[in-house]
Amino acid sequence: MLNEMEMKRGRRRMDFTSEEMGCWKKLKGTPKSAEDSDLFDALPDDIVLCILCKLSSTASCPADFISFLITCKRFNGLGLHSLVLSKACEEMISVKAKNWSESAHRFLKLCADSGNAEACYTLGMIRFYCLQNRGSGASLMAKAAISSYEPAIYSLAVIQFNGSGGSKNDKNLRAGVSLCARAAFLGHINALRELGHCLQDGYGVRQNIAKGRRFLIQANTKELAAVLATETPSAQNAGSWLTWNPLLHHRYVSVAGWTFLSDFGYNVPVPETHPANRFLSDWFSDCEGSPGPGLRLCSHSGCGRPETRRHEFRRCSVCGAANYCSRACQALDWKLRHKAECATVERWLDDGGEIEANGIDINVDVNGNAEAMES
Amino acid sequence: MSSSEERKLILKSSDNEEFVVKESSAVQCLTIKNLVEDRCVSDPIPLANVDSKILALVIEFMEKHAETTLSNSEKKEFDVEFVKKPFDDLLELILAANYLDFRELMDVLCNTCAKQMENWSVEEVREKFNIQNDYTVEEEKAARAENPWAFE
Repeated sequence: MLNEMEMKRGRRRMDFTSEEMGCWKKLKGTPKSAEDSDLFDALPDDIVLCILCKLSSTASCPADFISFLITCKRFNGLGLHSLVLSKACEEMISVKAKNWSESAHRFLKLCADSGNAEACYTLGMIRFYCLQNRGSGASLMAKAAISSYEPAIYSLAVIQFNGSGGSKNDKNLRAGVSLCARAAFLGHINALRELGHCLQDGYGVRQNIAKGRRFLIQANTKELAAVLATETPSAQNAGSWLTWNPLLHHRYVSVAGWTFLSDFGYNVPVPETHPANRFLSDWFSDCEGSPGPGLRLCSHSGCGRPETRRHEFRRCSVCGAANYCSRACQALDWKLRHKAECATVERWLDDGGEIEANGIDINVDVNGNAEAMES
Repeated sequence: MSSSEERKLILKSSDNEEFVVKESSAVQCLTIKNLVEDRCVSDPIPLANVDSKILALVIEFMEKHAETTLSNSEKKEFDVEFVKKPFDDLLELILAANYLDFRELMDVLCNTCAKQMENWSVEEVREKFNIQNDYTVEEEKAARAENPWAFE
């Protein structure tokens, strides 16, 4: 917690009292080394804060920043200043699930209190799903959502769609749709995908198949554009992956991580997962905690969300083996992995088009999604 | 006084060295801009908190960034070369930029410092900043134990 004494001591340096001014003037005549040693003391707090703000917004891992807090009491006090923590970037507050502890929790809480939207969202997700503290988790996510942080808005939408943390009757489809719409408007691709599916199915909103399909295609396009905009490290494939290869449509090419959009003949790397989702996946896979008796995880590996009550998630009606928290996760996992494993896939691809299985119509649409989902 | 493009100002450092700069470059420093706009300019403008070595560097930066003929990427290249200086000089430049209220220079310098600081160990930070470690042995142990999760 912020040490009041240290802050006061820091502040005192800024008020140039007569003794301190006298001290400085005396030093001007002394050799350079003595001047250097007072350079740090001569730096006023607001400049140190400025530098620390830049440091927190560009740090590539928590250790880069936290090691400063150990150097001296002044850095410790200033480093934990809310202005610095509010600018902390995603990488700086990314805690690994296996390192979770009281001190990590305290640090995240400090960052969240300072108004850092990423910290609010991450802590909210951790409290809601891992620590099972639904109320506090949801309110933290809401705090991030109010600052227009799209992942938080989307996560709240998923909670509304599923009625997570409550009973089946707590599902609020319309709230879910409007939250999705807000997140999609702000640029969240999965929210756009989810919205597209809701429109196609008339789920929580009046059905509009054409509009839904447009949104789905838009989501795919945005994803492709985002990948093209960033430089991928495995650039040796960069030239080859843009060529259209219709044969890929009928055969699953298992190049790890490059199968995205393979329906269109493009091999595109999978987008980065948010640290909060990585935390959730690691938490539940390392047996740090299990979601609970009979509770399943979302089968999309980039999601990590667990159920909060039995049969909360819906499953793939083709094979029944995969469960998803949302349609967006289902669509992503289909392209990433599930298409190869889904039990009856060979049979209906050969038939080409609509067939009936288990009495449920399965439409293979342009995205190659198995559309029907059992609730 | 000649036309405004050619108006010059004289800046005097703390060790009484005088520098002539174009007014159009100098007004990037809001402190100087305020003086000029409020017509409080008496030639030369005394800058008691900036010595000549640092003032020369600030003027070099300010004139480069005032040139409208240069593109942004050329200015960025200049910035990259400009900040290749010893850390103490960078800190003194930051103090000067803060005093002169020169936002662009502050941003470039703070970014550079932050980038350099990222990779330093605790000992290196203390050495570069010339910090006196005011933790006792027990306090330091406690501080290190405060956030073990970050280091694993």
